[in-house]
Amino acid sequence: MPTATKGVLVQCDPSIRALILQIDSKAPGIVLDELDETHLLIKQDQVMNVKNELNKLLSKNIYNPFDEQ
Amino acid sequence: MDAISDNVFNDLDTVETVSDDPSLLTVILDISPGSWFQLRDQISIVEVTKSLLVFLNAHLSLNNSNQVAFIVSSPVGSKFLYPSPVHGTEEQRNKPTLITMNMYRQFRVVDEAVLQDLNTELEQIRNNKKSYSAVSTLAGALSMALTYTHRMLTLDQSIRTTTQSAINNTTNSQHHHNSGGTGNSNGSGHSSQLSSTNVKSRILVVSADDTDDLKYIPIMNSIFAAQKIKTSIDVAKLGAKNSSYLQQASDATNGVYLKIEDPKGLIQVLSSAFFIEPSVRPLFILPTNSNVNYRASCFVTGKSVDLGYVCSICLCIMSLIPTDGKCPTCDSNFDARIIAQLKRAPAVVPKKRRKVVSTAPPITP
Amino acid sequence: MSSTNLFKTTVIQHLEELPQTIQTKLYEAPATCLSIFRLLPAVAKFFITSMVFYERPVSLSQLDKWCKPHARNRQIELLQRLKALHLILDVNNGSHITLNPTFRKNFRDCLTGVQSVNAFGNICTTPDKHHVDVSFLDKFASQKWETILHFMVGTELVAAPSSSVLSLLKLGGLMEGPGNSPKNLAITNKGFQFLLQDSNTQIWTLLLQYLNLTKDLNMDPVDVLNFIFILGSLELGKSYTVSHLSATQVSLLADLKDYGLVYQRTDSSSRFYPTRLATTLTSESSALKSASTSMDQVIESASTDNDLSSGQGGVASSTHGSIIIETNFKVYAYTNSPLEIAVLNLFVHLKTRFANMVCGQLTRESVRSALQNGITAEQLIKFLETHAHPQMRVLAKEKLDKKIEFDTNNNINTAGGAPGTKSDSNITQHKLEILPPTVVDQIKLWQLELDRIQTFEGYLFKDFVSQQEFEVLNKYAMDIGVLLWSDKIKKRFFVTKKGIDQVADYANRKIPSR
Repeated sequence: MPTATKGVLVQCDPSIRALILQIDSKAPGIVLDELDETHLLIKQDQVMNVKNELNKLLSKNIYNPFDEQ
Repeated sequence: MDAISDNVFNDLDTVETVSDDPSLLTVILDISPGSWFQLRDQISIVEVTKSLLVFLNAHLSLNNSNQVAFIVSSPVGSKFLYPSPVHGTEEQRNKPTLITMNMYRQFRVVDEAVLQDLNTELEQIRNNKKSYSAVSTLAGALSMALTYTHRMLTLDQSIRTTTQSAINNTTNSQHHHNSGGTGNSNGSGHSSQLSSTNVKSRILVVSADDTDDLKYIPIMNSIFAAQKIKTSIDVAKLGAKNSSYLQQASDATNGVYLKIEDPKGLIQVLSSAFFIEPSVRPLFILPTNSNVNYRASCFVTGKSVDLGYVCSICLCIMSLIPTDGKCPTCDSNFDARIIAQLKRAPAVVPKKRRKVVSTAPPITP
Repeated sequence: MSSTNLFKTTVIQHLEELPQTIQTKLYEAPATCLSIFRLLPAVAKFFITSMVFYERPVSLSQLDKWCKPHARNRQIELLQRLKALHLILDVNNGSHITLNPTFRKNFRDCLTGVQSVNAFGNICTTPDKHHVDVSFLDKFASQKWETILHFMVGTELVAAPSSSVLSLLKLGGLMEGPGNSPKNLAITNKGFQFLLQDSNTQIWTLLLQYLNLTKDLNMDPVDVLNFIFILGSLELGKSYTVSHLSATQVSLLADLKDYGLVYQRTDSSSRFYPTRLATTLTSESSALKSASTSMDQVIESASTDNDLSSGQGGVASSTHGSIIIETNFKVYAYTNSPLEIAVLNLFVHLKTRFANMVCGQLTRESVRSALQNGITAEQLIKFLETHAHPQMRVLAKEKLDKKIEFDTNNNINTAGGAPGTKSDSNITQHKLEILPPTVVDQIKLWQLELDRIQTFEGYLFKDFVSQQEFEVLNKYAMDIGVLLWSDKIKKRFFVTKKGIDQVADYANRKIPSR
């Protein structure tokens, strides 16, 4: 008998997938299942959290012209 | 832009990009009496007009900014019925109305103009018996439709009937002197028109003409013009035969060509197959015929040819060899020897100098 | 997606949430049918027109044949929404659909012009003593409306709008503050977004708030909606009698007057005039942003020293903008209108302010903060385009002409496919690029960067016993359009939240539980 698991499907490119997995490794319990290269299943209440963490990680690598001024 | 964004997102985004832009529909009705006479048992012009008016109304009801134009092509000539170049709108309101006053305003204005002018047009044909034999003026009507479309697409901003721009249009004239001090609004008057609207357009040709004596070159030119301004030409063909030139027109412009077998159900065909707006065309499988006859017409006789001669200089198409041995279009001399060979009786294996439009490969000498 | 689309969804959503009895009552008015039809997405409009003159039910499989495969999901979604509006009804156990008979009859009557008398308002036949012409109405409408906008950004000089408007602004979360006194209200983030919209969207936003209010006031929603929709089909410059309106509609009239949608000389006057704001209610508007008009007024009154009253009423050409953007993302705006500057401040890092201009820069952070507030990249670009300085347009036009000339000289066909080829979608056509393409692309990229992940709520099906079991369910989920992802080898698939019930039902029927 098949089972159905509630969750949120996340579609992203592989690099972002790696970042999400990294977030998960620090605070386990976010990712429920790794589906394939570009898809992950995560917990419903963690979506905003993941988005915020991602933004933090990504903005580390952004050049801000005003920092130098 | 799309090339650099991730594929993952493009998959989903492509479907979302259907816009709801206003569109312009130009209907060309061919009223050459001969062809409609052939169809008298099946349908009359009056009935077709009824269906077309409902079709126009339906188009107008799609969007408040949608525009329609109606051109009639008759042996006497082509003419705009709506928007009418002669009457002002005020003048028309004072005339006795053919249409019930309760109709929605936008519909009523269009329907009235079309009906009245169509009546006068039919009167004219009745009084003008000698021009019946004239060739179809459909090509002319098509060019009129295209020029009108082009104007609406690029120059005329009035197609925007939105609140702000409309308010500006009316109040601008009064308050013109106010802005004189800045010198700004006068200068920008022209440049502001550059921002062309995202108006989509299409043309619907309704014809019952079976004679296929359309002027080939004007039609082809219209097709290229339509391609240039990305306007689709849809064709609703009534009558017994397919019209190969109109078929080519819709085929080359990504339009819909349908030969309507039962004209009684015209309104259903119009409101379904011919109702696919340009903006949603990418989403639909167009109900059109893939068997298009790409034949051309002879430049000398004007008859359509399946097999003929082509000038190697200018690609002019001929159904017969010109008597003076010169190309009728570019005036270049043909090689006399080869013409002699071509003219020889069919018993001899023909050697061709000029490539033939479509024929079996010639036997090599 | 453009702002209008987003907003339209909300009007339709409002209608979807109404109970079926009310919806059916609404469809009894031809004017309402027409207006609702106009608000539907383009593909839905096509489905409806193709069914209007077709008496028999249409089979769903027939409908599928119309659509290209990649449009299938959209088609299914549309049909569901039309069902929520009860515009189409299921017959034959869901294998066929048919149009709502009430809607079909009234919409068809509307197209053929045989609907009942006065379906589109009752025109006053007697001439009005106090002559009212179109330009007067335009002036009235724009004055009322601009007052609201100016009030929102706190332009001085402007009298506060009426208290009913104020409470609506507050209710809609566009302004906030203690009490209802105009002085205590301050504009919210949402309010700034509101200013970026075109005026049509703005009016609908307020009207929707009003509709929510009517629920509490025990007004008949059918009456209110019908009146709003009829307004959209009235004739500009004609007067209509009040006597044919219901009591609810008469009270509505007074409020609409405050927004500038209708003009009524006095409250007891027996006639009213719809203004342009009303007659274009149901029209598609890719309109010029109204913020620009107000800005132009300020410029105009400042530079020509006009007296205030004419500066208020006379709407200058809103097509002349004032913003210059350079390829290095620097923005110069020749304006001193608080409204314009406030709007610019939403997404531009403003640095310097002079007497007649402000300078600033588009930065990742400034654009991101705007994007995070729910403003879309599309809106930003559109706004900048409509407000671009005339000089930018002239330059863009020159560039375009050069490109076209180059192409014609080199025989490059940019206009469309050669005869016979149908792949003209691949051929790029030159467009007028008013803004530097680098800036446009970058703004879009910043938006893409914000949503690096796409999320869908739903359910993952797994642990299938056999491949065949998986295939059956997988195919069913795909057919009803709820499948988002599937993996054949690992026998897992993901369905949307909406589809779970149907798929679970189907699973219980097809797969006997052991």
